[in-house]
Amino acid sequence: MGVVEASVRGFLGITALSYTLSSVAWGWSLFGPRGSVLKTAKVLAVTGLLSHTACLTVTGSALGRFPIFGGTLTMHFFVWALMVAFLLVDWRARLPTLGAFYVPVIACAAIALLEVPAPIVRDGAGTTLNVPPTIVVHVSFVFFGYAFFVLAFLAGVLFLYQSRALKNKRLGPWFQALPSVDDLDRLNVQAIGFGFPLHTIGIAIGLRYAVVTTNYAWMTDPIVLMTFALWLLYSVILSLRYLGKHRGRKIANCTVFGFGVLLICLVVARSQQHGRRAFSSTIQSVESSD
Amino acid sequence: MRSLQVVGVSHHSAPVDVRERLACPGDRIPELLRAVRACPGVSEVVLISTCNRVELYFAWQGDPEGVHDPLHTFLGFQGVTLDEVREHLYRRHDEEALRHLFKVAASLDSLVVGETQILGQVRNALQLAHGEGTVGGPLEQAFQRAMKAARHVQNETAITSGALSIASVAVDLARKIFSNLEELEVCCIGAGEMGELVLEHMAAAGVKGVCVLNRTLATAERIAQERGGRAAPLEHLDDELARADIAITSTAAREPFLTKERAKQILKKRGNRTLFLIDIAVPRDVDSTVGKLDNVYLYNVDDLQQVVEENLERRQAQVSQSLEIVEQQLQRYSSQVRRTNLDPTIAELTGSLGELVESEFSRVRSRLSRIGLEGEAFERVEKELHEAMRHMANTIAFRPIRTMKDEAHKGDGSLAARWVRRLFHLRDEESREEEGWHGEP
Repeated sequence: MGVVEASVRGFLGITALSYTLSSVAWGWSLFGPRGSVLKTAKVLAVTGLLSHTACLTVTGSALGRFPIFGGTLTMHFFVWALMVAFLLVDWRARLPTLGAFYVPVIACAAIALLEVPAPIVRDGAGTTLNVPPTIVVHVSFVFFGYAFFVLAFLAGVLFLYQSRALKNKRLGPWFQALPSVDDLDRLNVQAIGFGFPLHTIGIAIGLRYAVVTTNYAWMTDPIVLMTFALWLLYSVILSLRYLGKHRGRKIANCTVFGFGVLLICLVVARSQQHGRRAFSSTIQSVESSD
Repeated sequence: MRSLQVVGVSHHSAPVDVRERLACPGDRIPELLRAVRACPGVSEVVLISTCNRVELYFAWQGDPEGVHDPLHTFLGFQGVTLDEVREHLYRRHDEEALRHLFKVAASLDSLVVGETQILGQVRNALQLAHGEGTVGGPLEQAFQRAMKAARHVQNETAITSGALSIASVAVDLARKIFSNLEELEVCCIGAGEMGELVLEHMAAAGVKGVCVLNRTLATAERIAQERGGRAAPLEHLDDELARADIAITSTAAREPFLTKERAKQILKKRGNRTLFLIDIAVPRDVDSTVGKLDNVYLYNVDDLQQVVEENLERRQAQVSQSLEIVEQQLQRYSSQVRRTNLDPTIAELTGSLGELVESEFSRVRSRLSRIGLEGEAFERVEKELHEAMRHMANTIAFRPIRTMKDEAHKGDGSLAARWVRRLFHLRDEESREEEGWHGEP
C-alpha cells in the first residue's frame, strides 16, 4: 500500500468516525441536556470535515487534478459539499436540533465511502485526466447548489411534521425536540436562497462551455434538461415565496417535490456517466486506457 | 444521640387554614430560627415556609415530646397549641427526614409535581438560616445534597417539562410556532377573565405589542393600559387580525364571529403570515374549520386543556424514575454519613492500639538492653521488633474496621461500632463528646 493510499485510508477512517460520533452527540442533544453535548457534536463535525478536506486534498494532489471526477470521488465531493453546506446553515440559522437529522445521513454516506477512491488505487499518483477547469467549476457549483437543496428538503420535511403535529394537537416528544414551524420555514427558504444562486452560476458556466467551446448537443441531453427543470422548479419556489407571498406548507411541499426531481437528476447523471457528454467521455477514455 | 428531624404540615396533611396559621412571614423567620436554635440540644435549624408547606428541619439531641422539644418553641412562636394542629402535623426522623427533604427539593412532594419553584425556596431557606448562623454542620450538608439530587432529577428526567396551566400552555405553543416571541403582536378580542390571563402570560413572555379589542372601548382601554398596549373598537377586528401574530378570543358572542371565509380574507391581507388563534370563549368565537387553513393554528379551550393533561401525564410518568434517582442519591449520602460517623471509633481504636504498641515496645526495649545486645545489632533488632508490633496492631485493627464499614454500607454501622468499643475497652459513646448528627435511625 502506497503512502498516498494509506493516508487517504487514514483520513477516511477519521472522517467516518468523527461524523458517527457527531451523529451520536447530536442525537443525544435532542432529548437530553444540550450545552456541552452540542458543542462536542459541532467540534466532531468540523473535525470530520477537516479530515475529509485533507483526504480530498491528498487525493487531488496525488492525481494532479481537482478530486471531483472518477469512481467514488464524485460522491466524496458531494458528501463533503453536504457537510460544508450544513455547517454554513447551522452557523447562520442556529437551530440546535437540525444536525440530529442531517449529520447521521452524512455519517452513513461517509461509512459507505470508506473504500479508498478508485482512481487512487487504480491510477496511482501522477495520473492526470483531461477535465477542463471550467467543467470542474461548473460541477462544483452545481453540487453545492444540490447540497443546499438537500438541507431545504430536510427543513421542509421537519416543517410538515411540526405543522401536522400542531394542527392535529399531537404534541409528542419529537414535537418538543424540534424547532418552531416559523424557524423551519425560514430555514427552508434560507437554504434555497443559498443553493439557488450557486446552482444558477453552475448552470451558466456549464452552458457557456457547452455552447462556446464544444459542439456538444446539450439541448437533447436528458441531464441538461432535468437540471433546467430543477432550476425552474426552485425559481418557482422562490417566486412563490417572495412574489406570491406563499409560505409554510405549500413551500415545504414544493421543496419536497424539488428534492424528488433532484434525485432523478442524480440518477440520470449516473446513467449518463458513460454517455455523450464531452468531458465524461474524456474521463472515460482516460480511465479505461489505464 | 443527635438526630435530624423534620416537623411540619403540607398540602397533603393540612387544609389551607391550618397551613396559614403555621406559615411564618419572611421578616419573622430569622427570629424564629434563633428561638428554635436556642432550645437545649438543638445544633442546627432551617425553616421552609411556602404556601403549600411549613416545615422545620433541625438537628437535635433530646427527648422527643419532652419539654424541650423544639416543636413547642415553634408552635409557641406562631401562637398555636399542639392540640390545635396535632392531627395535621407530621414528624420524621433521621433517614426518613432526609428522604422527605430530598423529595421536597426534587418537587416530588409538591402539589404540582415537577414545579421548579420549590428548589429555589429550599435554597432561600438554607441561605436565610446560613445568614442567621443556625446551620453549618450536617444539616447544611443534607440540604446541599438534597438540592444536588433535585438538580440530577431535573437534568436526567423530563419531570419539569411541559406547562400545566392553560395560559402557560398557550405561551409554550406560541414558542413552537414562532421563532421569537419578542417580535410578535398579540391581539386580545373580548375581555373574558381567561383571555386576560393568557394575555398577561404572553406579555410576561415578552411579546412586542398588545392590542385589546372590545365592544366597550373603555374596558379595552383599561386592559390595554395595564399591559402597556393599545385599545381598539371591535369594528377594527379584521385590520387588527391582519396585523397580529397571535389572537386570543374570549368574547360572549353566541355564534362564531370568525368564519372560514372571513379568515381567508384576513390571511390574504396579512400575506399568509402564520396566525395563532387561541379561542378561550365558550361558546366558541372561531369556527373550527378555520383551523384547517394553511398557516393558521387554532386551539380552543378543550385543546389547551388536553395539552395540560398530556403534560401532567408525562410528568407523572417521570415520577418513578425521579424517585429512583432521589433514592440513589439518598443512599449514597446516607452511606457517606454513616461511614463518617465511624471515624471517631476508628480513630480511637487505632490510637488505642498504637498506645499499646508503644508501651509494650518500651518495656521490651528495656529488656533487650539488659541481655547484652549493643551497637548496630541492637538497633536492627529494635527496628524490626517495632515494625513487627506495629504491623500486628494494624492487622488486629483491620478486621473490626472492615466489619464496621461493611455494616455501615449495608445500612447500620452503629451496632458493630458499639461492639468494637466494648471489645477494645474504648470510651462509651455517651461519654464521648458528640460533634454532629448520626445518620442511623
